[in-house]
Amino acid sequence: MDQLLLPYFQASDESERQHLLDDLLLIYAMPVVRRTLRQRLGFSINRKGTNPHNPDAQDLYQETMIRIVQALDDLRRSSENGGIGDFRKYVAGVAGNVCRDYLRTRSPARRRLKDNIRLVLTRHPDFALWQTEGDYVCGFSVWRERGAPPPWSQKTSALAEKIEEFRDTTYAREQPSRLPLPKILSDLFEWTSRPLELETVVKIVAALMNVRDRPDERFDEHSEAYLEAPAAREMPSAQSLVEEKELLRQLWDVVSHLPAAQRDAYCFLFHDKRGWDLFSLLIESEVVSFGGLAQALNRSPQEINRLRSQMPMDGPTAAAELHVTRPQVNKWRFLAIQRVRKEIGHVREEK
Amino acid sequence: MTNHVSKSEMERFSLSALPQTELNSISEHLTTCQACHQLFVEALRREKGSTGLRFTIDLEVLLRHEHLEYEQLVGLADKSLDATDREIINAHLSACATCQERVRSFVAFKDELEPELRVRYGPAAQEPQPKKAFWADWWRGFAWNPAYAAAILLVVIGLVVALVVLRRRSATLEAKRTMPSQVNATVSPTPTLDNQAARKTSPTPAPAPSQQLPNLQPSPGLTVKNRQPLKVPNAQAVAVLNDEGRAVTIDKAGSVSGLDEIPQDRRREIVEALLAENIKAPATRTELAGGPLVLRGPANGPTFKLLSPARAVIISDRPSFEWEKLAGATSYRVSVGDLKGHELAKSEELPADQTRWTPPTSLKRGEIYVWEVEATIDAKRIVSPGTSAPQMRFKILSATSAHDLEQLKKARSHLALGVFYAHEGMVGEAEHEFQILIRDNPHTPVLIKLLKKIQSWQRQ
Repeated sequence: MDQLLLPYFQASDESERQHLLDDLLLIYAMPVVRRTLRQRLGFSINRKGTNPHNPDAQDLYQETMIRIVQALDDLRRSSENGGIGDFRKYVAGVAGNVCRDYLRTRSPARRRLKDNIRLVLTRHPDFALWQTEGDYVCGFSVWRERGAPPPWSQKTSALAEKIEEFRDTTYAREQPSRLPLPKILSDLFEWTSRPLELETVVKIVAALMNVRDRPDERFDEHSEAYLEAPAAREMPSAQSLVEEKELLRQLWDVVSHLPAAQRDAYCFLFHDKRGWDLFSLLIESEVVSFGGLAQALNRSPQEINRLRSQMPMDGPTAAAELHVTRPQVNKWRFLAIQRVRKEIGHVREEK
Repeated sequence: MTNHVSKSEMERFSLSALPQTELNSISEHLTTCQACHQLFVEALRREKGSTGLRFTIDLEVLLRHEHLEYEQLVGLADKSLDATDREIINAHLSACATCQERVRSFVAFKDELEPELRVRYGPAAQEPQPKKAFWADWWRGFAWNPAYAAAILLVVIGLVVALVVLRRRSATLEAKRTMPSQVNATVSPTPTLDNQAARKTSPTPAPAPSQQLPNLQPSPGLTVKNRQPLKVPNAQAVAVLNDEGRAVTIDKAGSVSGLDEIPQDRRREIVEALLAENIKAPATRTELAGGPLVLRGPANGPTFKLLSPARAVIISDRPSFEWEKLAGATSYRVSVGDLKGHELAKSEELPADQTRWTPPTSLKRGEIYVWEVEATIDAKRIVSPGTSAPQMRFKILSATSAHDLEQLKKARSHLALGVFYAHEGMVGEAEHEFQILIRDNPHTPVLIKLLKKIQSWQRQ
């Protein structure tokens, strides 16, 4: 049994046990879960365990925490306490499983179908895609021009039945998978006589064309391969504290002189191999003080602390923070990385 | 904040595990208090541990989670991205197989969609209108339009005048039959400036009524937006079709116009099909239907389906074989043979997650092949098609037909392609072409008959 867990298991008072559980999750589990989500999926979670800009990330974090709490509770209630030898490793394992489960629920085939549907809706003059109350809806372009009626809606539970009804009435003698996609969309809009939400259209067409939600195993394996062999990648490293401080000083020297947008994009998304953010690393190595950081970035100390609590950020979070699109963040970050590579890319070779 | 921060408080600050007001005041305090700042540094060090610093500057790794957004996909397909955007996307694609496949699939679909963009859809265009409604509408519009009413009146007057003039002239001609030389001089004057001027003043026979009627336009049901209107059918035409914007006319004598770029023999096939309102099922359909059942082992146990190619004629001579995943299978092996049972190609042992295989070399064109997949599950071998299912056959289009197809595709005629595919036994493709034709020519029974015929082959 991991020594970290003993006080929790031995606590007799309920409130004390709850307090110890909070500490276990906050101090030991959260950093591991944040790092795992970051490395495996590129998702970020702030230090409060939320991410309003990436609901999937937040759901996965909560799912992981629920599984951990459940496991600790089950262990405490059972007589055997020898289940978890290394709590951090155990947490990493649970988070890894949650990531893997998530990847299995993704369907690249369905995503590709959605791309194709969007292309038809935006390129074909007789179809249209527009936003209503934040949702994408679609239909014949004349509907939109004349003022579209409210979207066709069905309860999720009834949708499968409706799809079969549509199939039976429209495609009794033919296979929809053999028809061109615009024809299927036209038939569907004719059948509903009103616009549909884009997501509903994707569900219906996927069912008609037999597009199955199969996980993309290659994606998972590919990501894993990258995680397993990071050393093979270009990676400046410092083994001693002195080297580390020098490397960070060089990095900060380059980054702090970048144009503000590039600098912010680089800083917000930076993480080292263990998932640490750049501000924490710079302060911890005393390359720059908390106040110095605020001054250099022309932000208040409270703002620096707020940003640090969200770092390392993922693309959607950084985009929301910088009020731009994700591709724009990538562009700034890309330019910053090129500069960093040019300035300190030699560090690895020298060692 | 003037009070210093305790060690435990600082640890919670480091983890952002304090109320927001406290986080804010400690942040402010840290900019002025060296001692508390040092406490913060130490809290961070305890949290971090002693491991060395490592971070990547590899673009591929850094961008591996930056999956493409739809707009980037469109920009990539339209070639509208700038060099930096392309470099970023390329860096990501080199690390993300999923996005690679997404881009490939999207670009291919965009190309396929191009011709489909000319096919028009909409609530009105889809409503079939009975033939009599066309004439009813025409007459209704005619009767209620004052200009048309005036035209009718003029036509009637013209007809009466023409009749009177003709009668007079025929009477004159009859009277002058006895004086041939004079008749010739009167009836066939050589056109000169003088006599032309004289003709202008003479009464002119009225044009035939049909020439004075407003031009017949196709009914709304026959019109496809953005396409040229069809010519008025001549009396002998058995079919006048709108085929990708051109008017294709076939008359009773078997003459065809509008398909000049289609080779003679292919044109003959089209005419035959349209005149007979029938297409004979190609022998290939029967040949591909199955074949003898071959016992391959016990019938019970798990099964899985072969998806493609499935009893079809295909164009590629290196088909991509696809099958359903079998739960629990640890590997697959695909084998392809001819109808005599000779094995012609065999895959290596494929991993459990691979359900598609393309042979490394081309198969001979014009031949029928049989294929099967052997899955290994718990050291047992499961073969699909199973023991009670017919062989899974397919045919590769012959070299001559493949060449013809290339030529026909350039001509962009749905009619020619539809008949070609039907003759070759490529039912799905033929069906698709005829469906486009019917959409563009919704009141043409012969097309509907031909489509039904083709669809009936699938049910056989």
